[in-house]
Formats: sequence, structure tokens, C-alpha cells
Amino acid sequence: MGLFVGGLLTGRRVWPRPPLLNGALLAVVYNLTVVVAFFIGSFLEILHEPLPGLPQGDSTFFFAWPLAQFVLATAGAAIGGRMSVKRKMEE
Amino acid sequence: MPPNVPLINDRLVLWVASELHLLFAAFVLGAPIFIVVCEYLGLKTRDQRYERLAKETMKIVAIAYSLTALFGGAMTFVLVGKYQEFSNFIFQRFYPVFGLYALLLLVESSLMYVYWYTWDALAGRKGLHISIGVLLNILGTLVMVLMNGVGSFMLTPPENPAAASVWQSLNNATWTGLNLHRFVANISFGGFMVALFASVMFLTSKKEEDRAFYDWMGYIGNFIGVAALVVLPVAGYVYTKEIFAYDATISTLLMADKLAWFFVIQGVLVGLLFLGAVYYMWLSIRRIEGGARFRTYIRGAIWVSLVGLAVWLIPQTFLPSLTADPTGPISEVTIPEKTIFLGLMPAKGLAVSAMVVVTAFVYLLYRQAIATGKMAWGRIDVKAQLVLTFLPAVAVFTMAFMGPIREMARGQWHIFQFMADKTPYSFITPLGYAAIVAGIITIVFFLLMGAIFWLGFKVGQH
Repeated sequence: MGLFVGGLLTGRRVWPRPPLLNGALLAVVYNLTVVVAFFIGSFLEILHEPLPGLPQGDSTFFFAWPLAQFVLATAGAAIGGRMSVKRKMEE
Repeated sequence: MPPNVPLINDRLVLWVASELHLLFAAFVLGAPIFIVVCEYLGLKTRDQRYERLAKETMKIVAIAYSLTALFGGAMTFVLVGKYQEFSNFIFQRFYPVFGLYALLLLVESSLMYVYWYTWDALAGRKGLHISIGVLLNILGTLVMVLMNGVGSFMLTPPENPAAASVWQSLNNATWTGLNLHRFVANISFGGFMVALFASVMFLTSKKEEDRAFYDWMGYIGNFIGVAALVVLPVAGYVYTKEIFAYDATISTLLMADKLAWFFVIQGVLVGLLFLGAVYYMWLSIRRIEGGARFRTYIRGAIWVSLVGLAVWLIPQTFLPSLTADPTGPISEVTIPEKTIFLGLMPAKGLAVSAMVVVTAFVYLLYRQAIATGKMAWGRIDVKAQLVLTFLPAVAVFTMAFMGPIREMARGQWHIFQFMADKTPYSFITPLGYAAIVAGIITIVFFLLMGAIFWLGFKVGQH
């Protein structure tokens, strides 16, 4: 939800430039930060295995969620861009 | 095939015939989707390049069609001749399905020839010609869906398969997942094959105008191939989840037991596809005015893909199976304790999702570069064209390698936990053997495609 809203806001702001890339970049930065944090945490053995609330060997959280986040952030940016266009036209 | 012929046995013959059938089927099912879309875009945008792309690709499809049928026939002959108990059961169980399949195939083949041979005759009635193409694709997809039902039934049959209705047998636990996975994979494969054709034509073209066209064609082929490739892991995930929900022991065999190393290699192959696609965009973005400024981001994406690939390559253990001797010589080869997490699903899931996400991001970057800069078609780095031949080679090898994984997932069953495979070949082959067979299939497929290109575009020109 945070990424969707983030994408929406950046999409509104960057108009008239194409908004998609900003939402995608937001998701990439977020995703890579999580990956680095997880790898460092696992290497230093400070993370629980499995993470609290997740079943052992869960793949949905680690595989499907990052992709859904990417789609949401990009979709948010696209919608934000459209809203921006509409607003400017009304002005 | 006599069983005493050295190195050749019934399973191998069936394996090669089935894979070649599937590869050509994937091409003749995937490429027409691409062709009709391009023909429509040609009509809508009045850009003649789309029309030429669609027509030249259709020429290849028309020739490849007969090879699909040829290998399908070979596969059926081996099944009927050497796997009689199984083929008797499957043809009786799915008799109405095979009847419908034959009928649809007849109509689909007719439509394919009508679509191809009326290309010029219906030039003034494009709407009608495109409608024939759409119908051809709908029928092609239906044909695929029917056979996916038979294939998925073998791995995940309903309870009491002998008494189940035809619909229950067809609508089994993994039918949806397999349909989804194959549909997306066919589009990706079709795109990469078009890119292969374009790269071959680019590298052998002498005219500047042709080189510009084939550069553009390669770009479109790669564009579609990558767009579908990005979605493909999600389809694979849905399919695997369905297998897991049906019987977790199959998933264990696939991911943690005898087939786990196959999946490690499969991961590397898929990773190479992502890496190759990003590398193509990195090389070719230079021919876009102002595109060089995006290269820093793409270089970052290449590094992420390389690291992701490395994580995917790390196995859980080096033991060949869960029941292997834990004190054998291989047990001395271990992964450092601190990095064991890299061999587990969470790390692999994150690695693959990172690769998908950065590839999709680069894809959007590339589009942005095209939207804001002028493209110098034909001025592409030759290495990028070689990448366009590398990608289909990896795609074909991956498909030829994944096919036996799905088949061997049944273990010693023709139909999982219902009909045992009593032949001497009901065992999981060593990884090296499967890789060699997949390699041979890839070479044969490329030789045949080379012959098709030669027949269609070199012989025809004289």
C-alpha cells in the first residue's frame, strides 16, 4: 500500500514527464534494500528462521510479494500521472 | 526401437520426438499471437515494418507447421508401439478429447493455410484477414489446452482415475497452472525466435535498409520475449503451488531430493535469459540518442542479475538425493555454515524476484530512452545481435531440459500412483545425461530452424 501511494504521489509530481519509471524505481530501491537487509541479517545470524509469522520455507512472501509490490508501485505511478494530466487540463 | 541398440532406447526416442514436437508446437502457437498483434499494429499505425515483420514470420511458421505434425506423429508411433498399456488407457480415457483435438487441429491447420495464402489477396480487407488470424490463435490455444489436460492428468490425476469422468480427468489439479505457464512461455518463445530470425537476417544482410529493418525486428522480438519472460516466473510459481497442494512429496522430489540439482541448473538457465535480455538492452541503448545516460542504471541491473544468478546456483547440499549416503566422499564438500541460508528458498526467492524486478525496470528505462531520443536503426553493436541468437538457444535448451523434469517428477509412474511404469527406463536419469540429451535436442532444433530460414529466405530469393 505504501509503495502504491508513493508511486501515486511521484506520478502526480513528475508530470509532464512519463511517470512509470519513478514508481518502478521506488519499488526497485525498496526491494533491493529489503534483499540486502535480509542477506546481511541472515549472514550475521540475527534474523529468526523462519521470520516471525511466516511458515518454514515460505515462498510467497519472498517471491510473490516483491513482484506484487513492483506492480503496485508502477500502477500507482501510472494512476498518479493520469490524475495529474486531468488536474492540469481542468486548470 | 530394438532395446539392444547401444545408447538408444525407447525412452530416449520418445523423449527426443516429444521435445522436438513441443518446441515446434510452442513456436507455431506462440508466434501467430505475435504475428496477428503486429499485423494489427501495422494497420493501426500505418507503419509498414509491422506488416513486413508479420508476413516474414508467418512464412517461417507455415514451414514449421509441418515439422510440428511430423514430430507429433513420431511421438504417437513410439507411444502406441512401445507403451501400449499406457497409450491404450490414455486414448480410451480421453477418447472424446482426442476426437475434438483432431477436429480442432484440422480446422486450425486449414485456417493457418488460409491465413498465410490469403495475405496478399486480402490486402484490401485487412480486418477480415486479422479476424482469421485471431480465430487461428483461439483454436491453437484450445488445441494446446486440450493436450495440457492429458499431460497434467499424468502427474496429478483425480481420485480413482479409472472411474473419473472425462471432465474430471481433464480438469485435474494442475491443468490451470500448466495452461497458464505454457501460454505465457509460448509467447516468450515466439518473441525470442523472431529475434533469432532477425539477428540471422541482420548478420547476413548486405543492404543498409535491410539491416535497419532487421535491427528493428530483433528489438520487437526481444521486447515481446522479455515482456512475457518477466511474467513467466509468476506462472511457474502458480503451477508449482498447484503441484505442492496436490501432493507435497512431488514438490520434495523436485526441490529437495533427486531433482533438486535439475532445478538449480534450471534456475541458472532462466537467470541467463534475464541476464542476456538486460545485456542486449545495455548494448543496444547506445544507438538511441541520449540513451547512454541510462547505461549506469543498466550496469547496476547487470550486477544484480549476476549476484542473483550466483545465489540461485548455490545448492542446499551437494548430496545427489535425500537418501544418498551422508558419509560418502561428496559429504566432505560443504557450504560454509554462515552462508547456508543462500541455498534455502527465502534467499532464492528474493534473488529471483530481484532479477525480475530489475529486468522489468530496465525494460521501462529502454522504453523511456526510445520515447525521448531518436533511434538509429541498423547502427547496433554486433554483439547485441549475437545476444539475440544466445537468448533463443538458452530458451530452447531450458525447455528441452525442463520437459524431462516434469516427466520425471512422476517417479516410477506413467500416471502418478495409478499406473506404474514397468519398463527398464523408469528411473530418474543423472543430471549430465539429461543435459546431453537436451543439448542434442537444442542442436537438432536449431539445425531444422536453420534449414527453414534457408528454405524460406535464401533459396526463395534466387
